[in-house]
Amino acid sequence: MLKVEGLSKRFGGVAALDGVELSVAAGRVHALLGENGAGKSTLLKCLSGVHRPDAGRCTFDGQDFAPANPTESERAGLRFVHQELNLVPSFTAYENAFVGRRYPRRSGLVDWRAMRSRFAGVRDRHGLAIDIDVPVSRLSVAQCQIVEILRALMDEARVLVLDEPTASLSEKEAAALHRIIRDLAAHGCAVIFVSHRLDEVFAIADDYTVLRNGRTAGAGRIADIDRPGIVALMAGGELRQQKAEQAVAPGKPLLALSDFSPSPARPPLDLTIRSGEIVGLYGVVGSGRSSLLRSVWGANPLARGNMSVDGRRLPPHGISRRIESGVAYVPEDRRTSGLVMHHSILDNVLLPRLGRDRLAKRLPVVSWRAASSGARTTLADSNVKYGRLDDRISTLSGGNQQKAMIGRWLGPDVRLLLLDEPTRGVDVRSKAEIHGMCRKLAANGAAVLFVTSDIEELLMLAQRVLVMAHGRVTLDVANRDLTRRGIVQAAFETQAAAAGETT
Amino acid sequence: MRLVSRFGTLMGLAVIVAVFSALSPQGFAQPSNLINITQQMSLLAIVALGAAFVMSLSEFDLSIGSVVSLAGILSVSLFAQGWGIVPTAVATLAAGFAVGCVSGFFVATWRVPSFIMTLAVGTIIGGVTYWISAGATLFSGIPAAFRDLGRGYVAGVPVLTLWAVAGTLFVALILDWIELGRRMLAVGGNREAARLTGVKIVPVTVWAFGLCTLMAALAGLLLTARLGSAHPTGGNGFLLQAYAAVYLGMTAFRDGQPNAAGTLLGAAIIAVVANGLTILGVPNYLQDIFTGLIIIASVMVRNFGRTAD
Repeated sequence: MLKVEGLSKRFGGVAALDGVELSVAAGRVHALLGENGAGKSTLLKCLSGVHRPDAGRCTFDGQDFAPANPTESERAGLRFVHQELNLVPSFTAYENAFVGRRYPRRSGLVDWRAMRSRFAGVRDRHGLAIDIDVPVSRLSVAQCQIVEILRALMDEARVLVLDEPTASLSEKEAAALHRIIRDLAAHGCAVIFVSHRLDEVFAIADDYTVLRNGRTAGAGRIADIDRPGIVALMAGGELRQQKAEQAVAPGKPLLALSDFSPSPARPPLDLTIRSGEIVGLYGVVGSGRSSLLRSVWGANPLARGNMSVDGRRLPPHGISRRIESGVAYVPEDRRTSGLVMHHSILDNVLLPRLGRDRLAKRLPVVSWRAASSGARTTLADSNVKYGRLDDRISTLSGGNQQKAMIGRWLGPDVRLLLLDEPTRGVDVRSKAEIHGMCRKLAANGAAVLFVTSDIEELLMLAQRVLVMAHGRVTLDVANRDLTRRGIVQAAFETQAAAAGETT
Repeated sequence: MRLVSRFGTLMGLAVIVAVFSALSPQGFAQPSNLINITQQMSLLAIVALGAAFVMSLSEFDLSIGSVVSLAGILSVSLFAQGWGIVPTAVATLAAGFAVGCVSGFFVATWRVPSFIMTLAVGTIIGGVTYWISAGATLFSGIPAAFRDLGRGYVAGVPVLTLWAVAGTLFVALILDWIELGRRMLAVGGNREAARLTGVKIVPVTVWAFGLCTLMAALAGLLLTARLGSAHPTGGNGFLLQAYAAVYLGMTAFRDGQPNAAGTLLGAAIIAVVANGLTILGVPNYLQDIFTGLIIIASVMVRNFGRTAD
């Protein structure tokens, strides 16, 4: 019914899609699989009309299909349910269903009764029991997910696309969603769903397509393939270029977590990182790696458990004690949580080290002379290209912003550097320089713990690799014992298997 | 364009002064009138300088007008009880500081929108002020020495002008040189980024709100000293003009961030327009319309600067 042939899409110099093939049939459930960054989202955005492909063609019922915007795609009968909820919390389910739609009217005013009965009709047709009269903020995540799906099904849907609908659901809630998906397919709707849970793929999908590096790595019927087969397709051939070597033998334990959990809902874990180690933390989105990193940094008030740095006990949250102990943290998104974009380079570099450059030791007065020269040294050490210290930091290139954001923490006192996606959206050269900064730190006896979605980076930089799935560490090995397949296998570990392995 | 966005406020003031001087060389442009303007703007400048603290957090404090009124009524009431000048001033300033600390604490801890929180606090303060004064203008028992704080000249410069200059230096010191001020600006620029670099949001917020209303209380004291009386709503008019002044000043000197010198300049623009139009015999309501238009113009200049980046 829906066919994609040779679809390509470039962003700047990077090919997000490079000749993707996809064929979806009516009445069947089609799983779209791949690692982070394989091109799944870009492909879906081409289908929904958000992006326009550079090359290739799509056909829908044998006709050319090239939506210029989401409205055209919707008119053709495609419906998208995104991973994150797009509901107005204070609205009821049926009010939400009409957001962005034409409201039924009666003598010029909104006809509430017609709104409600139309939505209730859709709900009943799919045999779902959901309270549509309470604000959706009172519904569970799974129920909200169902509201999203019902909203997508308000008008006749030919193709329903679900982007990781079960990522935040419990097993039981997911099972309910699976029933709905099967039911829709039975009514002749084509369902495309993106999932990181292989067990669910095998439970409900009829067909699969695996993407890798913007290409279709394999496709076929689920009945004809097994788990290792899928994992092999996602991981691809073994790419073993320059592996990270251990520069110095790991020293004393530097960071020790025991019985530590980022939130009551996450399983507690134990972890020791030694001085001189560079540890990479991998996992799919939602596996808990970023929240673990934030919790180690003390930025998560829900964290519980024991943590020590250099043998000194630290409370489960509170950032300033971490800083005193020589911990530093660089968040994932420099725009929203890393830098103050409209402030100067100087202000941004100074922020974590306010209190170091004073006119007099006990006086909280900034010595701008000392601060400027300190900032210049920091920027030079981290190889940041900049004009003047007073320029806004937003005038720097992405790579230079990133180097400044990391470099401002570095100094002789740093014992543990926590990095979340340190090189996302950064050019190759800056990437290498950032890796160099990490190696230098480790060689001087500090430790680095970084989160990445990029397997190449993981293999290049990490001497030891941790893989997380569903909040648990499912793999902890030295880089030399590591294969791409092993990483993917561990990252897509099922919840049940993960529980069995760690207990 | 960068020049316009950087020095727009200063250029604006120069243009306005030039226009009024041309229109009224005998009235407006006289040195005595220009000195008079510096006195007329000084109380507004002090309130606005306080507002710059909360604006640096990207928050608002709508209680400052009420705090000015409260400070006046409270001080005269204390004088009537026989309190001396120093204890009265200290108690009044402390009360003003405390009001902001309460607002700041709620805003930081429970994430109550500052707009709503300070609107409520301002309403409460207005009620308290009315209660203390029973709605009457108070004027008995103010010591003459206290009144000298708000009137007269030192070396040819009005005392109030000196207070405004001192206030500007104080706020400049905190925002530009003290670590607390740098942290306020960082929180205002990107709260999450500041938090993740270890800035403690609660104390920074409490300080900013406290200093803001402290300045308002100072303005209230000086207003009382100048007038020799206090009215329960005497300071309410400062609220909107103060934010207008800070906003006008945000384009000056430090692009886009609240700053002391710019705020003083902003207050000067508002005072010059009011003075010039009065001398030209323009009715009051037209003055309001002009002031509003100037604020809109300054916002547009600021946004030009933003997009040019």
